[in-house]
Amino acid sequence: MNNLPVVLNAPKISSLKRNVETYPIRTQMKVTGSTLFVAGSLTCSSKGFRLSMHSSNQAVKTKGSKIRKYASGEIKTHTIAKIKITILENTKLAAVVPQERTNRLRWQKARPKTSGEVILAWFGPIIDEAVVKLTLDKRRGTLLIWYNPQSRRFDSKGVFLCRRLGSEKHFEWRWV
Amino acid sequence: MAVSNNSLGYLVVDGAEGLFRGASLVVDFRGIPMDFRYTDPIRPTRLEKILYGNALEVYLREELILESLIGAVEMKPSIWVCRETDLLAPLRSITRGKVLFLAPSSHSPLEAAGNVEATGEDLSYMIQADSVSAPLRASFPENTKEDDVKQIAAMLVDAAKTMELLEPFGRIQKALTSLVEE
Repeated sequence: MNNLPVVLNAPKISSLKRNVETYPIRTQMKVTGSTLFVAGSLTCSSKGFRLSMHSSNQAVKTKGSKIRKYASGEIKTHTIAKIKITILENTKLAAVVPQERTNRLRWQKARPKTSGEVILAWFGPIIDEAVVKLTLDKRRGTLLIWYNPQSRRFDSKGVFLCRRLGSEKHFEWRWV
Repeated sequence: MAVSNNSLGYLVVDGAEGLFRGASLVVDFRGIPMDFRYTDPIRPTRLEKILYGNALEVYLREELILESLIGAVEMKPSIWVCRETDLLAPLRSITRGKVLFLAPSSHSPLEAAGNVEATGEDLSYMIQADSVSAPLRASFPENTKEDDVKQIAAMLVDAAKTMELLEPFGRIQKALTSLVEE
């Protein structure tokens, strides 16, 4: 009879738990270095105005290949000059431009009553003693007046322009 | 700046076809010139139009032209007269004096010279300056007192005895035209 020791193998125990291994789908990116370099300049211009950005268009270079480009940089500012104005004086010119009187006959109630005469116009007020020259602008039907600017007279009058019927002298001035 | 009691100052600011210019003419009550000033024409550049935007016209007309002209006039008139209502307020604030807008009307004559009739619009009146024309349409800036309106109307009536009140505007235009032609 063999006396064999009774040795029982330990039972094998297996766990239901599982190990899960995960792998990223995305490729892992490793940046080993970067370089910034000048790619050029950007110039904006308009008539009468110039804005120049002499700065860099910078690009990021990774592993020797350019992957992204963007404009950045220093913007130079310019002051726009204010709009200038020049004031000039020329009273002498204004003094030689004649005053103009329009025909106001339709408002003039007091009219001379002379037979054989047609009243065409009434011009006023006119400082007759300050007048240097009077001219009838036949095209516009107005009276042009040049005054002596040194005159001290202020008394005004009016003048009728009449036409005598049947007379060789067509027009006649009548001060009132 | 000298002050002339019996004088009128006429102001014109034009901005036709993008070309701005202004002129002032101070005359005595006979219409005889005492002071005539004008600006060089200003044509804003494209960039100025962009930069100033909608404010450009107001800036040019009111701040630049009007203010510079009035600042340059040596003979200060009793009344400033303009023919554009939008110049009234800036004109008043710059001159701090008597100002009005004056224009012709087709209204039938009022009863007598010196009559003033409210039109119904705020600070707007018909003024019968003389007996030989239609009344003039006058407007005054805000806060003008009724006494000031009467005082100005009385001065206009005085001036109208020896001159045509709106005539200097035409003379300014003629003078400016002759300057352009020179």
